Amino acid sequence: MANQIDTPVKRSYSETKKIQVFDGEFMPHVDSMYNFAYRLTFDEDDAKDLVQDTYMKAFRFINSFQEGTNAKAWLYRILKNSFINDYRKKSKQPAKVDYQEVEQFYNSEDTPSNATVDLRMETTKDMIGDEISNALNSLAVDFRTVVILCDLEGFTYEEMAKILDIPIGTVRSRLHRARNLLREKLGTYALSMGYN
Amino acid sequence: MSDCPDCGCSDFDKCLRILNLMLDNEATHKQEEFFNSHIEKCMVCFAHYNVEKQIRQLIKTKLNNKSVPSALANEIRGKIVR
Repeated sequence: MANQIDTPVKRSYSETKKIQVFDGEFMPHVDSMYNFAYRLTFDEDDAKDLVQDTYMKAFRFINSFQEGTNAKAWLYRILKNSFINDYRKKSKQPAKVDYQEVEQFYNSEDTPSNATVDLRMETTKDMIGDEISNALNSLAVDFRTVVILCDLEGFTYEEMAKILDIPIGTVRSRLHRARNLLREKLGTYALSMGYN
Repeated sequence: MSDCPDCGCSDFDKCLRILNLMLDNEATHKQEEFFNSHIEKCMVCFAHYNVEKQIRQLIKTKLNNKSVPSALANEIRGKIVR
């Protein structure tokens, strides 16, 4: 696991090298960073801003990053902190959904035609996915985060402790709580899918 | 601490804790040994284990991903390289 999270070592990359490290080690994670950001904010624009901020910060502090170490964990840490420090402060209701807007969208005459196509093409996978997403999204953000980091991104407890800046025991208990909540929501469903 | 409703083992909570560690690949060898022999005789823990495994599998494979705005990567890069 990345040492740079424990003991930041200052190095000095040349401008060309900076771009090279940025492209080679940070950019490949844009998609998973965006999905993480979206699962924290539930808002496409906020997710985009959060990812952009994260990458700007990563670039600004690129000299603290040691090439070849765990770039993904580092980016996750930056994003999580940006979310807590900047985003949460800005927004009093991070999870708000403008239902009126949603309703208007679906009732609107000029709904883009591809929206209808999308709905028709919704596959079973999407429906299962929705069910799982809803269960995950209904968890409080701290619980949601550990499940995402552990199950989706495959981080170890130790990496999660560093990303979230909490003791490993807290990671364990938070996950345990999150699992219990998920089991309440998805247990029956999981059973009906059979054991694979 | 509560008894396992099935086999009556004294510490059901402990079983659940180890079960989670196992599925997250964080259990010690000793814990794994304990749990593997335990689920052979405890149907409740065995069932729990399978449900938990299934839920992790669902999250890993079935969660819908948001399609990433196509311009995002370029926008980010554009801000870096001026």
